[in-house]
Amino acid sequence: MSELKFKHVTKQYGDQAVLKGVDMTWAAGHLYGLLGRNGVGKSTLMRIVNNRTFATHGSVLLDGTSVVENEAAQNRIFLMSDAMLYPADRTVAWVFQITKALYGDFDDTRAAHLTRVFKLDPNQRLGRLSTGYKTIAKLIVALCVPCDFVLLDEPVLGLDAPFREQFYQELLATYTERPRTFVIATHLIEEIATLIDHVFVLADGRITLDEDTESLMAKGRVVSGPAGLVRDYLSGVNVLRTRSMGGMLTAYTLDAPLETPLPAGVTLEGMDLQRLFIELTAEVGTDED
Amino acid sequence: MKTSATNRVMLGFFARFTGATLVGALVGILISAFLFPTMLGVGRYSLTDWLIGVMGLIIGAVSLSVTGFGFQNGISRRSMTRSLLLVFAGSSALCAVGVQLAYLIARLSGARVNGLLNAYAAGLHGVASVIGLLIWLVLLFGLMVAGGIATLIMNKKTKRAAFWWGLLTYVGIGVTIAVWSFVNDLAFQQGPVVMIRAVVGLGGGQPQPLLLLLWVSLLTALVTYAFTRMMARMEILG
Repeated sequence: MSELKFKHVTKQYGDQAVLKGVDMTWAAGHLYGLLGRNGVGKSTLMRIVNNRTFATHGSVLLDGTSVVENEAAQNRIFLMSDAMLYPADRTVAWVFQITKALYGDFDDTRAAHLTRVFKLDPNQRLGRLSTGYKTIAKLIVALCVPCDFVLLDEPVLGLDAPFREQFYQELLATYTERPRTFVIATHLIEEIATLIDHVFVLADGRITLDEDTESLMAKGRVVSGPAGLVRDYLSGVNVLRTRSMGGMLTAYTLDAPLETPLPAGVTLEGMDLQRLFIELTAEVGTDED
Repeated sequence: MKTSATNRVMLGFFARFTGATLVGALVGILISAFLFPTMLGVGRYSLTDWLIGVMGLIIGAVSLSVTGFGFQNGISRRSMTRSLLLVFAGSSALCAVGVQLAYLIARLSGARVNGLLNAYAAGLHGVASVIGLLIWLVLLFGLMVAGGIATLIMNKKTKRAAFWWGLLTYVGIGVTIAVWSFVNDLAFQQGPVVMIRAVVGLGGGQPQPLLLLLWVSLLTALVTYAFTRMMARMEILG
């Protein structure tokens, strides 16, 4: 099985260290979510994979071979970002043709289907498309390119809600038809929560969470109730953050002692992915309301 | 697969630039050799090669925009460099022929050829001068590469920084030329020519096309080396 392995990848811009040692593995056939707050280096990491920039130290290996200046490896990786790197005076259809020429294949049938679904005129010049339609054009390429690893950096930027919904459906459809690895970096976590099967959280230049979505969701708990009871219940447990209001306390944890009987007056609820992300990337401590 | 497709795609891109340059060269001939002298009432000079030289720089600078497309499609810097140099070579060959034709037209029409290079090697622009063609080919190639280098230098700079660096360079060169011309009691446009001739051993008024070719080749080799090194480290945002 193919895999993309990150070995202690660092990236320094002058004095500023954006990535401080990223270690993780993207395996074949997964839908990954790469989450992180603004400016933590998600885009930089993807650009390193796609060779648009270099890692300062460390390496990214595709099946054991470095991806740097490696066209064979890059032929299996595609990055869709907000940057419009196609010439503005060319048509959408030309982009499809040229992608086919460069990658050796292209899902023409799906591209035709997607242009119909999204009402995109393939004969339109890229420079004349609205922001949303530029995104759609790039997304169609990303879904139809024959690469094993497709990286989507903020893929729905500029898309309205119906088109976003449509895109997620089409992504699942193409993934079901031909499983390959999609890595989605987005801030619209709720929208991809049911889509992704594995979550990576990038914080402070490192991967701080690397877990299957299902097990993560199963572990994330919000414990609320009288402060003393909540503290007793969670004693000895690692708590991500607490919020107190009057005598009440809300605690967020991945390690709720489910085997311990819940004290009367204390509630235990699941956490959705967005809340989990917020708690995982927030400063550890107590918020007083 | 990627290499051949890359070359094909990039050559296609550059065909447009080359076509535009050739059209520009023809227009340049008409303007500089015929229109300006007639309008300004001065002697008939052909300064076409200045225009073509500037166009060479611009072609090189603009051509680098294609690298964005290359990065989007996983094309290696090595392949992009190779394709760019290949296109520069083709474009400069076509443009060099254009320059020779320009001189031919200028001479046949009785205009006085007052080009960029005949200051260094008088008599260089004789009809069907093979060495002249070679010099122009190498020079244009070097100019295109230099244009590419300029873009690479400005690549990581903000638009404001690029503007101020450009202005500073322009003023710096202008002041140097002006001071040199003043000190040597020369007309402004003669200053740099005399300065360079003195430095490279092409003074004395004797035609030395081989020495000129040597210098142009050396400089072009240097900028090409710098270009390939810079391309190898090129990064883009987005």
